[in-house]
Amino acid sequence: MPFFESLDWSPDDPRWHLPDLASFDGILDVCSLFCLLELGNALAPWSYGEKNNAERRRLMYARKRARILRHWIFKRYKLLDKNNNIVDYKRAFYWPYLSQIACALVGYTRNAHLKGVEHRDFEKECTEAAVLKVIEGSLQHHQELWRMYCDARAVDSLPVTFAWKGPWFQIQKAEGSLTGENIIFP
Amino acid sequence: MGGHYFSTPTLRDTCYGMYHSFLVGRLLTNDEHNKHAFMFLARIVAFYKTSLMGSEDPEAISSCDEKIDKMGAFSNATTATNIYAIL
Repeated sequence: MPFFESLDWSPDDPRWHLPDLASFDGILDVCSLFCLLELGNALAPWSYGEKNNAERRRLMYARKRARILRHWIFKRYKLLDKNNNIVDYKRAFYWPYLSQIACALVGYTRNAHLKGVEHRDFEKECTEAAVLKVIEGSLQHHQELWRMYCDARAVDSLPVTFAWKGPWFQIQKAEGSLTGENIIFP
Repeated sequence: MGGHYFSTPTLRDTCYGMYHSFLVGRLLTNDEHNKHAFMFLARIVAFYKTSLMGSEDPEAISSCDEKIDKMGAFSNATTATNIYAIL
């Protein structure tokens, strides 16, 4: 999906591989990647006994870049609800999406263990409790995100899908030019 | 990578697939790819960030990277909390 601002780029320009941030589909694509990086430790072998600090560090660097990029994207592209009002992307979309995926992963792990399916390499270490601990450790750094996750688990204890179940937003590009230099990242 | 393909239009499905193959990766496909997949996804994030935001500020990045490096194997929960605050 070509980036909508890229019409003057050469066909050989690798930036054609960027997602279309002017559509909610493109936003979902990049945010699914951001969520995966946030929850990556739960999928990674180093959380269940394998020593691999280099790979762990690589994921940390990627997560840091993803957070900076997420902040940049949503300063530039605003989500509009069905009444064309700008919504807070974290409260209306990103945190609910991350919470939903985390809950689905908990449900997936629980279902797998109930059916006797164990991790192929870490059968003893990768228990449901161990996975839950890593997932929840990945979400506790922000109080509101943590609360959303707890609420999502209370309502839907065994969700069945990782796909976004919330409303579909329209995208509006913010006025003015925002570059990497004038973004103040908290 | 081993005949497996990472593409922006299918990125969402790739991510969902990684969750689904978390426990039974080699039962579903012919190899275990999680480690390499994270490497490729890390590169994709770096590509997106550099392409959209311009070149990275080396000073800011190295400063933050140093702080993360000093954390070692995450033995100090207080340090981990501080890093979250930085990010």
